[in-house]
Amino acid sequence: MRNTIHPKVVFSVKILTAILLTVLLFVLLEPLLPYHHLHGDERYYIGRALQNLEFIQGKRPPNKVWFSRGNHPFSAEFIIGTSLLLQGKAVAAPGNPWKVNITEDQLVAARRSALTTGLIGLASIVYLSLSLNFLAVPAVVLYLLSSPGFVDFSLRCMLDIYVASFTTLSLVSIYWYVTKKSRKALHMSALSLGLAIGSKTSWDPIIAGVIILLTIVLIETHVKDKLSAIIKFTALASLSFIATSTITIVRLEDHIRSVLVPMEAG
Amino acid sequence: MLKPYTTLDIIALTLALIHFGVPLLYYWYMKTKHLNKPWNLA
Repeated sequence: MRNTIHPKVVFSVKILTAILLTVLLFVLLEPLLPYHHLHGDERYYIGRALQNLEFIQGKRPPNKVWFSRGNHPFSAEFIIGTSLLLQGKAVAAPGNPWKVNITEDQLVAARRSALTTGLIGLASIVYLSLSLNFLAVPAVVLYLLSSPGFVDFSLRCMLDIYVASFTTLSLVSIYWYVTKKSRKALHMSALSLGLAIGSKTSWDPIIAGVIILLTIVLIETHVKDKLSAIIKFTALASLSFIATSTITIVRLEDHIRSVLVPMEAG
Repeated sequence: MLKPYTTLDIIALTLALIHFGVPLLYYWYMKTKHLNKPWNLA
């Protein structure tokens, strides 16, 4: 009789490998956080995260939270703010987020959430590579770790690593949905896409969303299933967006204006 | 006259070599391993 390894064991080994690699990279990269050059925008995002945190706690009225560009909702700031709160580094929010007075300790605490999110994105690619070809793992890890973009943005508290990681997570989940027909994977993809769009509404998550919707249409056999999957996907993606970018929904009129005004000006 | 390479230049060149070289090596490996085999798509 041929000895075969149970699929659940294979799945657990893949997940465990991805987690171990993430932890190892976190241990290696975390000490670099205080030494990475401060980008001016980091102050702004930390300031907005603190304002958003006070809004969630009911200490700040919605109209006192700064809105900037229309493609900058608050999901990444929600994660940064929650992370600061959990690490006990949340300070009083400034009136103007550009003028936030942060210590090195607070900056490192804020950057930890960016690094963790970036490494979760990397772990999801490692998981995908393990499902395709074992040699793809070192290829992908070496490619990403030698990329100035990936390392630089993982060490900085800015929106780009959040949108990149959540978009990646969303697409990796879709691979799982296609190969295993797993509904849970589709739901995870929707939640990740909502976070990606909420972090920064750039072309990456929008194109990922179109690819995912087309995948649902191609994968599901009956029209009823196609419609049901699309509705559930849209509802879950909206839910994760609304739950983390609540202020954008509360001030929807301002948000729409911040999207339209640059378009009218341009 | 060209300036001598600094440590930073060497690090940057090594990283660039890994960043572009590794995917090319992987592509070459996959191509030699799989491309000449029948695809059995039908």
